[in-house]
Amino acid sequence: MALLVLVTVSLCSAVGTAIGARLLLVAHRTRQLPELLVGTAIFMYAGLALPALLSMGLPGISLGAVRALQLMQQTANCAAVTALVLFTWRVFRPEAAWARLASAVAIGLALLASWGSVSVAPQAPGASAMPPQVRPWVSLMIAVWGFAFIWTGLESLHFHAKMRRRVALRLGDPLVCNRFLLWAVWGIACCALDLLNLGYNVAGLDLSRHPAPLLTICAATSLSSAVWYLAFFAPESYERLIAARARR
Amino acid sequence: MDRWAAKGAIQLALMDAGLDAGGVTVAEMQVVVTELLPRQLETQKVSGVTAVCDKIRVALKLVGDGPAKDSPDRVFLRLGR
Repeated sequence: MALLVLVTVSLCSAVGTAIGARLLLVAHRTRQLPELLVGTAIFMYAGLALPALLSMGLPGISLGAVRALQLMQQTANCAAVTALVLFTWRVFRPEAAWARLASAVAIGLALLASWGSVSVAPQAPGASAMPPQVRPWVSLMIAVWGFAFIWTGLESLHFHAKMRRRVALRLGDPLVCNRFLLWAVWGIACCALDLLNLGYNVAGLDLSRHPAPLLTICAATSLSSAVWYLAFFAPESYERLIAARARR
Repeated sequence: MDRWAAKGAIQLALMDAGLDAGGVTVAEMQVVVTELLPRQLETQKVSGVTAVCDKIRVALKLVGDGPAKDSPDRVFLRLGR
């Protein structure tokens, strides 16, 4: 199990870091906010938050290192979910007052959850990275992630339906249409996996050590690696496949 | 056919095409008028559908696109480049 987690998380971390960095380069070139937000979300989550979360569960790690990793993980996690929420709002509902309010509430709750988690220090060297007193804050953060995932997933699925009609009239790019579908699948599936982890956390399982949440993390990270790769770094063979399917 | 019925028919044709009235370009509107609007007008029992659509197409040639809004499809297009 430990090896499987290590492989999938390392792969997700490598793919996400590369793709996040690539999207940040696109943002640098275009000077547009959505690219900056989605690049930040993926880079912070894959490149910092995820490796830090799993490193906290390593055996023999010192208390000081756990504290530093916890701070890094919470900061990156909060930045990532904030960027994802802002991306969804700015791209799909820039003029909706409810979306602005929902974004503000979600970001406020993410900041609160991060502050709560960091304020509860690990009790001793080698202690669990998820002591009981941190669980409510972790649950809150998982809930905010769940909201961010399902919101972006459903908005993307809705736009994918529009794009399919455009593609049928040759008014839309099939690859862009497929990108909406991939982003929707990622958001909805990650929300489902996120809810599983919420259940595990409420049930008292250690998210950084117990096999069940680790397996969920494996599934989420494997899915994320595949979706990010196909959506933002698709090989030519995949692009040809999508174009051929659109011509049929 | 009154003004509201005409607007409704165009709105429905735009929806069938997956487009929004606020962000449609002239080129997209030309396709909608050619491919989808005739069917909408026929369902509303409008007479002289071909002539109506030809008139709209001519009118469309006289207008230009406004400043492009940053729509989700434009964002997702840029993300893959």
